[in-house]
Amino acid sequence: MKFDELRDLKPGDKVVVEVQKIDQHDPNKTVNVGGWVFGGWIPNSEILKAYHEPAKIKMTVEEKKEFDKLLEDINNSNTDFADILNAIWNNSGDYSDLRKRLFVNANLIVDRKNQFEFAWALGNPDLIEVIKPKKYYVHLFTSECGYLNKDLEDNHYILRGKHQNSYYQTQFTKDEIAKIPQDALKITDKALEEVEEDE
Amino acid sequence: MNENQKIVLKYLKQLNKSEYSLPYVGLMMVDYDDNSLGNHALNAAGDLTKKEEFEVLAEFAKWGLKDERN
Repeated sequence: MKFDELRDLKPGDKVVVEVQKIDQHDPNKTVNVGGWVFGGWIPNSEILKAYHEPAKIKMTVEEKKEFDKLLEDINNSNTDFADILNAIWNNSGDYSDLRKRLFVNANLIVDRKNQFEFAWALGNPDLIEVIKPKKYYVHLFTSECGYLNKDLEDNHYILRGKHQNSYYQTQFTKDEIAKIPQDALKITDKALEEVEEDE
Repeated sequence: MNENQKIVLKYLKQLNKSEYSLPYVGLMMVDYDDNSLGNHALNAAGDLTKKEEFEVLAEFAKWGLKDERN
């Protein structure tokens, strides 16, 4: 690595070092790598470049589920990889969320970055990070009992407190909120209170 | 990377130089196994194992993402 590049490094940065020589006469004793362990220095010529953590790929729960199915199809069956890609392209398989990510966005312009990320994910599935959707309380009236609850037995909505349990759901994703029948009232963003991570 | 992987990767990069190209098409090319067109890169793609294909895709993505960020 050139001196100018080394000068730009900050404490905590990581570098890639080329191991040129290893002394290992006795496997039970300390191993010397180059002049490093006891010398306390590494020649510039052995520092190749700055090391950057490989980029993570963020996926929603639904995208990850489809991606896992895709990998399973590729690895465990005779399905051709190109056939699966074609199915996503033609919207003829069970990959609607991946298709949306790869081919559809708000401007109806294909996002090349998403497609490159998909290729990166295929080669590095361990780097996929599943993003949990944010959840909200729907607070319709200024009262402790003004929170929207979904009765999980009969799927009806009522107003109660914000406590969620196995009978009543009070925390909703935006997708779930969009599906709530809004005949009598309209839920706007004003009514939404974000659920904290530990709630 | 082996020689076939290098050939395929070079081909994918060439195909995707334009900002209007679709990287997705490149993904499909990696799995191409019809040698009848006589295309050198596609023939090389046909010889790749699944593992090698995904290694090429990772390299292709690394190249593409670097380009997209700049």
